[in-house]
Amino acid sequence: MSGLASMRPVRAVGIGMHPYQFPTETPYLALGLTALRGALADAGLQWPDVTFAAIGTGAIGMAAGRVMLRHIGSTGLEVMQVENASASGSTAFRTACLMVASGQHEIALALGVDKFGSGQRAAHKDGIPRLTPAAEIPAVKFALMARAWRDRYGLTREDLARVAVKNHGNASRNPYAQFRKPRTLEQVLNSNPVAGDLTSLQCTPRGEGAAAVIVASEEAIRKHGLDRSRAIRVLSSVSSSEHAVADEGWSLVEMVQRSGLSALAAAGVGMEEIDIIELHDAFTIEEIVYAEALGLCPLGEGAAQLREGKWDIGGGGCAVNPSGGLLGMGHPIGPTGAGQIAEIVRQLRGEAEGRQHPGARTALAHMIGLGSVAVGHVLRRD
Amino acid sequence: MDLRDPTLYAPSGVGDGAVLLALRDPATGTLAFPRTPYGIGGSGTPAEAAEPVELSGRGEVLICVTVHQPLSPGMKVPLLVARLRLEEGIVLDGVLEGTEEPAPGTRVEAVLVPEDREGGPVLACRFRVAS
Repeated sequence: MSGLASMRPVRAVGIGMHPYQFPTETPYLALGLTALRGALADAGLQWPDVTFAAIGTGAIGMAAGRVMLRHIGSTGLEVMQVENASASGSTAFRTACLMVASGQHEIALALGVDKFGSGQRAAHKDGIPRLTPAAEIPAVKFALMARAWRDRYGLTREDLARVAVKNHGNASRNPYAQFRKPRTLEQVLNSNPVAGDLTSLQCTPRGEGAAAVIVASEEAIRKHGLDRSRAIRVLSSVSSSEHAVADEGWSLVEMVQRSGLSALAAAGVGMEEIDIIELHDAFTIEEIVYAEALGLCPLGEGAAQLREGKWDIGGGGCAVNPSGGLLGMGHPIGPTGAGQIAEIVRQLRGEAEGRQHPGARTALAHMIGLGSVAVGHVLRRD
Repeated sequence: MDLRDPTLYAPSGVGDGAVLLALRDPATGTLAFPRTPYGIGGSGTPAEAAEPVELSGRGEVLICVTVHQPLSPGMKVPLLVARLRLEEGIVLDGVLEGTEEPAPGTRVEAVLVPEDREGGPVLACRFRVAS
């Protein structure tokens, strides 16, 4: 037994969001503190009750946590800044969970917050020239993936576009989403071509926002008289990175599969028990490829499942990205992974008004980040 | 005319052809491209224990897409970006000449073509459908 299963139970007790939005002049403090105050109110906790904070951010800069948190009170808590590319918020959540599970803290905060940044990456500073810098641009990389899957499995332009139709539809019912308009297949297909078969509505928008999740031990839940029926158990937390496989450059997919299966195994849960998956769909192709890799359906059958509505909210199966995903809800980087957890907690509590997946009890949050890294969490309602 | 990236490629000596500069682990035969001071990531071999080798620049198209929008400063579109498998087995991404997407399996070869740069044109590596 390893991971969270070998430690004391940890539960998500409070969630808060600042809606994701296109870049504005709003200071990141306003975004982050809105999410934090929301999470405290949701949990029924006071700020001094929180003794650890992991701040997930990609673009704000050094020491964002203290600069922000002093405006709600300098309580002397332990603060750690976490940068793990798109998985920064997920890694902040994992860190908060481990702090509570290991007994270091009783109540911990994971807060993702970001402004749209320069997009500069460590890979740009490695001093190694690229034969084709264009191929490292995510939209190009995933257009190549879409083409490879078209050739291997017959995936069509319409199959890809259906992911965007579903996720924009879900986002239109999510008050925290950046895109709030449902889109038709024609609108998605006829939006501006970007690269290969990907059009602009099949690509995640740039944006900003914040997401906060507070986790607590059973003891803290009892001590503070928190509502245990709304406290969602975190069954597993895993994190890993890519290793090379000989598959024409798609080691990313192997990483998703390995980390997803590892998260399920650590939770003692089979994919057939998963009611909701929130996953990294920065580009439409990713949802199909990763859902298949995670074992939601056999390889090559994702498109058919989408067509049949099986990944829809209330579609009779596992709802994929009920939040709207990165395509519809948005992808402000630092908050994205924490926002996935907030959506899952809301769904498992039965509080996702307007987009509630019926009977949701167990969920998988899976995030990848540049590099590549992967972080997975399984959560369950009692 | 100078090469845009002299650590990545060199003239092959035949027409405008190019070879790619790589490292090889003499013990295992593992290849690494590009050649870096850090060695061979696939085997962990340090650069000083590896031997410099030239790759033919010849290979086949695995997949190819057209980039429609200028996604980075200075990018000229439409641009063909392809994933290629070189004869030596290495899989890499390259820019193809032209605007017509070749089918998977199409043979290509590395060539040096002038590319406008501030300060004057340089020779950049592209891949051309083999005649």
